[in-house]
Amino acid sequence: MILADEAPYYGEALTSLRDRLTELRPDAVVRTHTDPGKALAEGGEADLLVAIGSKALGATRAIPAGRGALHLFVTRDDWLQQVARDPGLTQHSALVLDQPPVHLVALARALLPKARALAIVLGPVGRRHLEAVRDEAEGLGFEPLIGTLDANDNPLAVLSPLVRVADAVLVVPDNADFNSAMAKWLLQLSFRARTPVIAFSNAYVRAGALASVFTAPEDVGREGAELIAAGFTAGGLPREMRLPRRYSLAINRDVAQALGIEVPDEAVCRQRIDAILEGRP
Amino acid sequence: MKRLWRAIAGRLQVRLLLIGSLPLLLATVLFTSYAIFSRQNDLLQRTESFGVRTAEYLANTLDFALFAKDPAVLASTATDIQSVPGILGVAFLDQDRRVLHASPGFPRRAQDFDARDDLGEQAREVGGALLVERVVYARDWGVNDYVTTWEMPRRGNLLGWVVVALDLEEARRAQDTIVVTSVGIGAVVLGSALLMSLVLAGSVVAPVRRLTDVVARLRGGDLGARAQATTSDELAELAEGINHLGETVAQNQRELERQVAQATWGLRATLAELRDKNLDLELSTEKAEAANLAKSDFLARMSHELRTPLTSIQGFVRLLESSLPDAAERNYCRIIDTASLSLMALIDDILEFARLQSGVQRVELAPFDLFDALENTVRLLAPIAHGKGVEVYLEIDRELSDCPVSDVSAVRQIVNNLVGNAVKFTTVGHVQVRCTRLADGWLQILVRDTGVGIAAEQREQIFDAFQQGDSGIARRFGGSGLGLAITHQHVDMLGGRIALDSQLGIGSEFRVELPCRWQSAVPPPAAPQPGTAVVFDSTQIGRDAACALLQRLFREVVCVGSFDDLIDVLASRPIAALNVNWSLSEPVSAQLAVLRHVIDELRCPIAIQVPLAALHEDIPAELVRGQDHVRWLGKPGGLEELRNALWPRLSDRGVAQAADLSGVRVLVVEDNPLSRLLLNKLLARTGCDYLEAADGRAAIEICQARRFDLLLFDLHMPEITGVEALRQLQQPGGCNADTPVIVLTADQALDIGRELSLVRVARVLGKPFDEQLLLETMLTLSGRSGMLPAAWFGSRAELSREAYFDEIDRLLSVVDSALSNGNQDGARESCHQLAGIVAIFRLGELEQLTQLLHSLVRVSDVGRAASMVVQLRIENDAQRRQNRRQSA
Repeated sequence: MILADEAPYYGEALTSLRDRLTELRPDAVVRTHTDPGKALAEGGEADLLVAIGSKALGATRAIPAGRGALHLFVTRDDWLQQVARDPGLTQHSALVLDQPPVHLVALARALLPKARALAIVLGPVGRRHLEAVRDEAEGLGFEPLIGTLDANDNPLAVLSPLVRVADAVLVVPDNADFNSAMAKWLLQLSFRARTPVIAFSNAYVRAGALASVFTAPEDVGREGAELIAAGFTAGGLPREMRLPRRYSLAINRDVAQALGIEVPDEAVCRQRIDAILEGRP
Repeated sequence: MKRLWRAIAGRLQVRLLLIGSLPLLLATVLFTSYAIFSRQNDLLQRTESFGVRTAEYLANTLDFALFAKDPAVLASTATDIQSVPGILGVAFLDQDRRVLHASPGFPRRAQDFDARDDLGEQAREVGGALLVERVVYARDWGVNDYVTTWEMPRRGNLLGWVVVALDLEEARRAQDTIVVTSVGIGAVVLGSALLMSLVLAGSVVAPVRRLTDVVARLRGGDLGARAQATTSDELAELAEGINHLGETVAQNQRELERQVAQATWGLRATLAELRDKNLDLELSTEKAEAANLAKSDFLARMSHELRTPLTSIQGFVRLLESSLPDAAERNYCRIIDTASLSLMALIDDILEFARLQSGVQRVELAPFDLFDALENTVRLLAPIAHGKGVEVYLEIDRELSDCPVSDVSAVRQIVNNLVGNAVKFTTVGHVQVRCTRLADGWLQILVRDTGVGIAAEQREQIFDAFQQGDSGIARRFGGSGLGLAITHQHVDMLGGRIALDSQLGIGSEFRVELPCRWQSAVPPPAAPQPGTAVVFDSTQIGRDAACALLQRLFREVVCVGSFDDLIDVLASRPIAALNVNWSLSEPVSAQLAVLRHVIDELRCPIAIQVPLAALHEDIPAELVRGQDHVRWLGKPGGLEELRNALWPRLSDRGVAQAADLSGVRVLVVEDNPLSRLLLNKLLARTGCDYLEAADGRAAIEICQARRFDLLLFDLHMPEITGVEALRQLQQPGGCNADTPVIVLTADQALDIGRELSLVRVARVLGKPFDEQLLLETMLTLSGRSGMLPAAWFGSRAELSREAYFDEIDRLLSVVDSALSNGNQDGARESCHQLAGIVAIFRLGELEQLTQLLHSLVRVSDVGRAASMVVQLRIENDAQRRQNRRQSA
């Protein structure tokens, strides 16, 4: 295991991975390093190198071709940019943080069963998933209202008309700066318009979104361990980028109360989501 | 102000009050100032801080409204904020500092904001408001759960500014309130403290003041004053000390008063005694002074009374002698004359000695003309010496040009006595007088003779009164034996010394040395003329004496002792002047031959020094008269006489063209009618336009109305003198202020030069005026030239000789009357006129006698002057008779 640094959520993910791997493969021996150079020097005998975080991803580019590696705790954009920069990474496996858009659409439907118009806000990066998101929304009975924004656009000019007419606003993750810059205007506009926001992070919920599905550190650790165990079993990890299957759920009940929305408890909500996901074609 | 401050600060209570209150005042002022400053500062800081907090709050909360440019939100926020006390208003600016919204109370116009007007973090005072602004950024909200990239967090975008205007007027009002409150509190504290200090100072000062009053009373003489001790502190001890001191002083004063009373009584007695003695002394002094005055008066009267009859006797005896045909009778007359002369000399000596002994003689120091003093004195005695065939020489050191400051009367007496003595005791040879200035400044006078000499054993007593060489001398030479004693006393009186060298049968030398200061002559002596002057004298001593005189008049002087030498010199070079000295020892015929030769052959000025007796007896009258270039002078001749006789004239310089004075305007100012008449006749010949004034006042009146080209002025005139009249005429603006002035005066005294220095004078000419010299001067000063026409000369011939003798008689009467009345000034004045008149016709002895009279009157020798008046009358009568005979 190569940790990008000692951020607490990396530790949580590591702990979760080690615990889950032990459950699945008690024979597995896990060694942890925070110095990528040292890890590569000493990891010559390891069956698999696991890099946690974007910094660790950069350091493991030097891994010889043909040798498997799994990258955890990177966003999809980061991974795609690194792969574009270093084609050797196509020989590695990656489990990214970004929840599949369908999880977000499913959450919106689970919390707002009567909602019709769903405003979808896409940034310069998320815009490439426009088609997939729109399809997923329409699939769950929503009328998607697409709003795309660039960094230089006036967010109010784009968001205000969307927020005013939509029953809910769905925010697709983009790059970190865009997410932060846009959240302020979106949350205020939606608050004024009394339109709930479905977001992609726990922090969004704390800032004023109604609810979100997001990848928690334990989710990363557990799903990573399951991938590793399957890989060991299958004789190797699939060399691809995978979106997470596991997700965590966050609901801001104060916002729900302010907006007058009845929100079921988390377990019910998770059941509804799972049901929706399983009921998809 | 300074006095008021001293009076205030000098009071003890005030000083105590100042000592107590000044630090308090200082502290109060300092604390009050500090409190005001700090509270005002706090107030300003609080105000500014309030503004900053408000602006930051708005910047943090209104970013969305500013970003959205939501006027409703901005307006409502502005309205809310403006209602907060202390805030005048708020303004919201966009990214380009354009005003999005400003509340009505905001003190600044919208166009006042621009990009250059960014206040930044600083507050700024504008129009009574304090503006504080903060930037509004669009801050990002953290909606990402993880940091998954290495990019730095992006800063929010600038949205605009929030500007808060704070009410400074209210802050100022609050500041004023702080000032008023603080000052009021300070004043109350200070007043209370001052009041307490005053009360405390009063309590300290009151007993001190009581003690001061007691001390003042003691000092004022109230020795019974005592201080009351009301306390038991140091002041009580001080009061006790003052009381003790007062008691001691009172006792001492009583004792002193007793002693003073005793001393006063003694002093009064002494004073009374002294007063009596003073009275006695004053009486004695008065008596002594009265006796002195009486003595002086007696001596003066005796001098006059004794000399007058004797002089009359002498004069009439001489008249009688000249009119008697019998030789025996003429011999009797000569005996009477000789006896009267001896008696006269004896009287003179006795009176002079008595005057010196009486102590009435006073030393009067003044600058005097050495030539005038010595020449006149020597020339008085020269006729006597010449009568005995003895030459008299006077030689004044060539280098002497300053005037000695001494008693001229005493110097004359000394020289007179020594020369008189020398003449008396010399029968063959000469008497020589030499005068020089010693290295230490003393005046030295040597009188040498070739007389009988004085034996060594008699020299010690020679200066004692009534002592002569031996009894035989008295019989042989006569005399009182007082001359040298008188001389010695005069020398002592002047602080000088006298010494005698003598050889029996060879001669004597008296050496007198007198201390004196020297003063430059005013005006300074004229510089020597160019050209060569020749001295002809058969004796070496005579040549030396004449040479010393002529060197003052000419740059080169050649001395010859024989006729052959004279011929050689005359042949060898042109000469400017010739001085011939008649010798008593040379044959008369030989000397006459020489004189005839030089008079005929030479046209330069010739001065011939002749004993007066020889002028009458040995020299033919035709030789004396009718030669204008020849001057006959009494021997020894004086400096001024030689100058008048020998200095070159314009006509001698070969000016060919005839002179012309026609049209020249001349004013003649002369009080003597005869002199005025003479001038009148002279000027009439020249054709000039002239007017006459008889005194200074008339001259001033005439000069105010008319302008003249020349002024001829006499000096001695009644009422307004010539000098005073000239001073008034020469005032700036006068029409004759610049007219050239020729002064005509017979007075050659030294102080005339000093008086003339007060006015501007072109030329001073002696009286009687030399026609040629006067005409040449007039020509020069009127800017004309030419040879003087012969027709201008001979004005004197037009004068009546009878009128001339009458005028002399009249003036002699005036002089005699003035001398009898003790009117010295009047005598001098008339004498001056007499000198001017007498010389008109150059009647030798009359002129000489007048000069002597003039000298005697000037030195106030009344006795001798009276004698001289008698002699002059006799001489005048003789001349008048002679003139009548010639006319007949």
